[in-house]
Amino acid sequence: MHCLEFRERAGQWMEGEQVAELAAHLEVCPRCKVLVSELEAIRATAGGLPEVEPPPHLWTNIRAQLESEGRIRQRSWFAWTGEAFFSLSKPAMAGAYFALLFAAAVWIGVQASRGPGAESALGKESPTVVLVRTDAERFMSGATAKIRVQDPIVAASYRENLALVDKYIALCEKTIREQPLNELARAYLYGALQQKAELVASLMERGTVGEE
Amino acid sequence: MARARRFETVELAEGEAIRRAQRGDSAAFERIYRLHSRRVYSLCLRMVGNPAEAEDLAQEAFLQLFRKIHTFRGESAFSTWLHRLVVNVVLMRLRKKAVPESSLEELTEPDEESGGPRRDVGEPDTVLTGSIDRVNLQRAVDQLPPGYKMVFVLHDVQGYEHNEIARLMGCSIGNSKSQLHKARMRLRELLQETERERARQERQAKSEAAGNAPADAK
Repeated sequence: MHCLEFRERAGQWMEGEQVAELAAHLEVCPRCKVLVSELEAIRATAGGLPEVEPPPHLWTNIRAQLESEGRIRQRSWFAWTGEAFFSLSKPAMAGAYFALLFAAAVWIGVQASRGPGAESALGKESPTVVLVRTDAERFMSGATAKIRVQDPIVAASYRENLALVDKYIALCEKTIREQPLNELARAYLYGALQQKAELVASLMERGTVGEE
Repeated sequence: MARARRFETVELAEGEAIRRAQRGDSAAFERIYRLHSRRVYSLCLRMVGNPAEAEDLAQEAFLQLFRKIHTFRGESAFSTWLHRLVVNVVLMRLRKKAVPESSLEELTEPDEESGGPRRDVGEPDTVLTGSIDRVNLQRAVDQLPPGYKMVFVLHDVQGYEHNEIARLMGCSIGNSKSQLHKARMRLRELLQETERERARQERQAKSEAAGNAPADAK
């Protein structure tokens, strides 16, 4: 067998087909032996390429699109808590409710400030919205502090993500205070607050609550 | 000591999640997404080599899935159904990008004039030294024609068997095997090209250092 023919049929060898003429050629041809070892190295390296975690906002984007198309129904808080009533403790149930309320309150605040002629600074949000957000934020911080996640890696990941989101929220708020008309910062703030609400809700779903 | 009580988070089985998603349950959609998102996103990323575009493709694939989920009747495995959809979304995008209105042959058999790296007849193969660098391999994969790339990524990266690839891509098992072999051979050529370029740069750096030596000594 000529090397050229071996190269064309090397795929059979790589598939584990025991073809006598291919084996015979490999016995006598160091160049084709190198070819096979290189193809095997390519296969092995490719097999070691890790799977990659998609960015966290991908699901948020998909869900938002599906909601806008009316393909998924957002569970009402009543249905949400009703289904989980017997499995969740009261703080978790209340926490989930507050997480939703928190997102809703922020949404109202942002939308209100976007309206025609509305004031754009954070400080100009309606007093009710500010009050609800402050209460919800205080509740979420308190509830978050009580939750324990058994897996230390997961717990660390939650801590890290919450710290990151908090930092991001502070940065957005600072930017908006300095540049009240910065719509991009406002949109980012809205996204960050939603993410925090989602994180806390997820933490409550996965975690345990310490009871003295 | 604080007593901990576990919240009962019910992880829906895939079948139940599909049934609930068909009724529009948001949590069921999310469960399906969480079950498959890593694999889907990784396939998109390996195929386009660009995180933003991979995200866009994964989003498109999941949106198509959720828009059609009410038509899923369970005759085939759900994962096969989903991955066939992802493969189609990715190939459609790559075909649009690569050659407008091109035939399948053009996408798998590149033009001899502009195809893979060409070498003079009789030039010895460059031996790939040591283990293959993952970054170089990904760069080489990025240069494969879409058809080769899809079979290579599905088989060698994601671990699908040829019969599964044939189902996903709507081709024969023999075609899948042949495409895979051609993909690996082209990757080898591309990696050898990288190796030759690295060696050339090394030689150039050495000769420059040698050329500069007397001037430095002055």
